[in-house]
Amino acid sequence: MRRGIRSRAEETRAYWAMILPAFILYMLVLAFPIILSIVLSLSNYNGGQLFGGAQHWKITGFQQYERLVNDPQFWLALKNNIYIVIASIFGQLPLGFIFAYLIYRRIVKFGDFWQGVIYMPAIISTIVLGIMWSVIFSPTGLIADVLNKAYANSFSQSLAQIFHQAGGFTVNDDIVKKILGVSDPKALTVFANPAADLKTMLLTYQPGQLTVMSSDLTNLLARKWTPDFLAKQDLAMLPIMFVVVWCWTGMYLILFLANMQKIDPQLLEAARIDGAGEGQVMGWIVLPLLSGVIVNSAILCIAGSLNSFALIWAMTQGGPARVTELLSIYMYTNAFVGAPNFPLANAIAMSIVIFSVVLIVATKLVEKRYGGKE
Amino acid sequence: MPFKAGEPPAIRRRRLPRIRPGRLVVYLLLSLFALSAIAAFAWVFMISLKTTPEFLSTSPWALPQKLRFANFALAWKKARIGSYFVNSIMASSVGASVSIIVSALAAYVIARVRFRLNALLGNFFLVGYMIPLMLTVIPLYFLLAGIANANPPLSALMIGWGPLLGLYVASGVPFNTFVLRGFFESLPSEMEEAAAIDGATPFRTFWQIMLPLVTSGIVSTFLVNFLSLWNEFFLALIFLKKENATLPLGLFYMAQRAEYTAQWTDLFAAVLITTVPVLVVFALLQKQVYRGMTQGALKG
Repeated sequence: MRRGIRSRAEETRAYWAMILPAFILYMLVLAFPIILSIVLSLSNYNGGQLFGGAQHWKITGFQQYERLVNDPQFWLALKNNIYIVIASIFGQLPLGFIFAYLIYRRIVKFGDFWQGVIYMPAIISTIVLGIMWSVIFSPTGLIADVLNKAYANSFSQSLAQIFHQAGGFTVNDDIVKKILGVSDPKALTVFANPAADLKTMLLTYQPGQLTVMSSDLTNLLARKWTPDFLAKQDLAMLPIMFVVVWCWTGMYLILFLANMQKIDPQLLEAARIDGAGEGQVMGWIVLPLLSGVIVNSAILCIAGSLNSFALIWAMTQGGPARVTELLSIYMYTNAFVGAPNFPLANAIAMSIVIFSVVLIVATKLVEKRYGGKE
Repeated sequence: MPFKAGEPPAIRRRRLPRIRPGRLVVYLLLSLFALSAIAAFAWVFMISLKTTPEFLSTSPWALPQKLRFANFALAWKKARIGSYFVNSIMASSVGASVSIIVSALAAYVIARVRFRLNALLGNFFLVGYMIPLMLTVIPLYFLLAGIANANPPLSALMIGWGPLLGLYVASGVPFNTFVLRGFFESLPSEMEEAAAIDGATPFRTFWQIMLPLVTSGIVSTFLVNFLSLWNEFFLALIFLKKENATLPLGLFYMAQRAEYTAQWTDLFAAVLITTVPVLVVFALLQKQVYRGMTQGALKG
């Protein structure tokens, strides 16, 4: 036995030395800054050296928080964040659960393929996804193209109908009025005086040029998809919510699937033999068995939603006119853009912490009230 | 065992599968997800082969007139995606490996050594998993920037790659200690006892005996770390300048520029250069990626 050669104290010292690097890093980067953030949010610090030198900042109390609750932009950012939380909890989790169940029970074929494809966005840079979707939603993107073709189609059909009813190419006030009726009001602004100008324009075509005229008019007057709604409060969040669900459903799919695979299959077989449908097995056996995982996922979801930055930053940068700003973007702009307000930025950071604690506690309470079927 | 759970017997017995509306909806929903992902990337690939005038004048659905790979070369050299690529490889691999080494050391002690503070330390690290790094970065940045302002010679150390790598390493510590602790806890204790009897130091026991036993766990954890650092944006945005950006940051600046110059085609080429390596790694090591992800996400 050579064990006695090393003393107990020596061993303990070695173990501490092994923990120390992680501990120091953790303290420096995570624990200490949180405390510093609380202190700064209560101060009037405005740039410059934090410690040492001439102390030029002091604790001034809750005035930043006061400013925060009086800023309508804060409430808008909070509301937008709630939208993201809602999309995550009521989009990602149920979809992820259903997909996981379908693959787990082999209700759909090619489970591995679906799992891979649905999970794929979760491993791709959110900046890439943000850039991609913002181009797809843009006026030159895919969606605009599909919609504009549809609008143009229906417009040229109405044109054909109008001239068919008139019995060929004729120009009169009635026809002009009908064409104006099917045109996009926004497109008509190219004319100073729509009725008269359109008539003059129509008169420049020869009777045989019906198709040329029709395509010219379609280009000029058919409705075009302009994503105006992207500039409106609330509505502007819709594409972002869609992308958020699309991105991270796969994450919860693999989480739920991994946990479903731990369930004893005989339990489900027995239920099936007793005549339970797949829906019943899912709702009454698998769902309660996974309730703990679901609650933890909900917490992950909340924490993730409150910290989402890159995706929205790449898609809209909080714009247009700050209507898609989230708390994280609001914080970033206050800390680093234009004339920075450091204590305010820290107050926003703290409000995010408070908000996430509230939501997580609420989730735990819901679990206590309605869960516990295990 | 994946997918060992039995097939619904009812389906086996049926000779002629009826098309059920429920099943149809299910496939439709799955296809919607899958198609949007595949179509989006196919589209990006198509655009990356077009010239800018071609992209602006033709329908976004039109196939490129001919396969033009010049955009990739252009993005790699002129838009500096090549140097961003190298930066990203460096940052992700250094960040992930150092973080795993540091965490493995701590995780091993927390998992295997019986002493008074084990549980407390374990939970202490776990709390960090819930602290969003984004919030701690703001005060940290002010602190570092303040020091840099007061001592100009130190400024290179305070802002830029140094603190960024430190943050990358630290940001993985809570997740990694948690996951690796689980792996170490599952090992039998005989090996350690034998090593102790042979007089190996704690560090040697860890490095030569215990660590090799959890290699597969380390690989999964490394993958998760690497992928998340490869995609990391917020910290890079704060600490790095445009000239020595990582890929996500470089892409972001490139996209901003594209809004004014309409250089969409090489932006899309750059998007592919960023994404394809990740997709290849994912395709090859899918199981390990899933394993790493699900191990870390708190057990139910």
